[in-house]
Amino acid sequence: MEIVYSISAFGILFSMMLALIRAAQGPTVFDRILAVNMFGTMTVLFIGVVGYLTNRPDFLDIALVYALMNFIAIIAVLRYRDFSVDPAEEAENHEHS
Amino acid sequence: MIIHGITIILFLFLYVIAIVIGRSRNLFAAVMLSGIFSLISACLFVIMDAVDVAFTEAAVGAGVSTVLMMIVLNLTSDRESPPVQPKVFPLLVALLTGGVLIYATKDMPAFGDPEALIHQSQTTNHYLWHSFEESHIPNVVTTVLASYRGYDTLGETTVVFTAAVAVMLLLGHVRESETPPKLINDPIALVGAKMLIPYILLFALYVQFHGDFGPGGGFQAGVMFAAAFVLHGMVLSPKHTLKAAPALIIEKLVALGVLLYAAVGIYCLFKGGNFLEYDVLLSHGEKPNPHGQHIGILLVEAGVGLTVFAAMLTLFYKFALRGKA
Amino acid sequence: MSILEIIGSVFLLSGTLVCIIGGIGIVRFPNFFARIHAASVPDTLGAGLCLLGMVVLTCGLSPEQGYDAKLIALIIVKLVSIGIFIFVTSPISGHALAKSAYRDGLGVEPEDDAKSQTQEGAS
Repeated sequence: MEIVYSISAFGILFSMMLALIRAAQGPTVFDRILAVNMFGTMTVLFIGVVGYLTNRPDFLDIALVYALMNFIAIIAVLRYRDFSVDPAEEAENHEHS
Repeated sequence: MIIHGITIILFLFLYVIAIVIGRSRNLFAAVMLSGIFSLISACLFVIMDAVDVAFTEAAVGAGVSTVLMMIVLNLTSDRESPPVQPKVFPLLVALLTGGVLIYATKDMPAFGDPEALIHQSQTTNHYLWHSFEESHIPNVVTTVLASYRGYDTLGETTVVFTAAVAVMLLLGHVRESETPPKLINDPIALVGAKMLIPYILLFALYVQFHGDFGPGGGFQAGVMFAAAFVLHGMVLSPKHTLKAAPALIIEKLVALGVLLYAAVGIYCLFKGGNFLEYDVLLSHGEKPNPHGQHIGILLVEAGVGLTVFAAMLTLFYKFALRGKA
Repeated sequence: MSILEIIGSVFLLSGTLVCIIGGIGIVRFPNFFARIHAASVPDTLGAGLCLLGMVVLTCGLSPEQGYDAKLIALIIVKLVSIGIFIFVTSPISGHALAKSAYRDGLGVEPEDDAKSQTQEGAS
């Protein structure tokens, strides 16, 4: 049984590595966000599989936290980085502040 | 053997991502990449069996700290100004410090070495072998954190309190007239967040009160509780959150948590025990009752959770409601 | 190996394979919108298969290994809720990402990457 979990863990690690390559390469900011998002999902799965590998499935609590928390970071990115700022609106914002 | 292989691969990932972060001039990209850094370190903590630490890293690193960084970048520029001249001296200092630290690891015991000094110490053995009979709590981390080392945790909670107070003093009161950042007003994100927020709150409560039995406790639960409010502020606007959780009340809660913690300690003094000696909490007369440990730890963790939650939310308010300079 | 273990392993390993395929896609696809498609594959099918495999494997755990019915039920509930959360959050973040990339002016041609206003190194 352990061999199955090991193969799965290393497979997920490999796919984390691929996401890491994309995060390092860019080229746009969106690619990096995409890579972070995918890396988060991989982490959830990885922590789950490692829990089985070490015979302690109560690690799943942590995976659950990640499944909930990753979302907040991505929404924050899109909320606070409005990438398409109109020049007119930007000028208006400047006047206000 | 397999675990060793996984650990080595994860450490390699950590090096790669650290170098990529160092080379990135775009601070926004650096914040995103530090999210990956936090994910990898949480995996490492899980592998090393430090489940409670991994929990904290999960709650703080992945969620709240990315949000706070993003808000700060919104207030400033997201581009690091290029260095004026090549700096040789900082490089030398960094190399020297790194070299000394690597040299120092020669004296460290191997990972999980049973002969290591920390595993031989009387205190550790006492904690590990006697904590259950003394407090009837299965998670030894919680017992150490809240009972054996209750003083330290009180100090840590005070540090969180102090940090929140410092931010309040530096950034001043929330000024209503500031221009809020632009909204995305995305209905899909709104619906998704509405679905998730109750579950985040519920899970935070589970983490708070289940800390006796599994990984978790006040610190983690407080951050998660705050994260739910932060998510609310993300999809609507911080002003809406301000209506749901007024800043005045939240500011009071920061102090209330520490007060609750210290009050439990002082109550123990009144009952005839030492400061934070929970055994006396339920006792009538002479005989200490070990079930008092349950009540004491529960109250103390509640205090920690309250302070951390309120401090996190205060940080969010102070930065998010600040207009662009 | 019991029948549950075999079924669970098949699900888990095929989920892993899907994750790797998605990873290859995210590296090799030529432009952002193709890559976002590749990233959605492990987020949905990969995670789903892996979690399903873990559920089946959990059902196969026996009391001799220290798992009674209550603990198994708790683990399955946690796995299912992880699945639900991933299924809710991942499409939403994908949607929000694609939306802001589109508004930023990213197109579907590989060379469009260079036109992005947020291209690093530009400005």
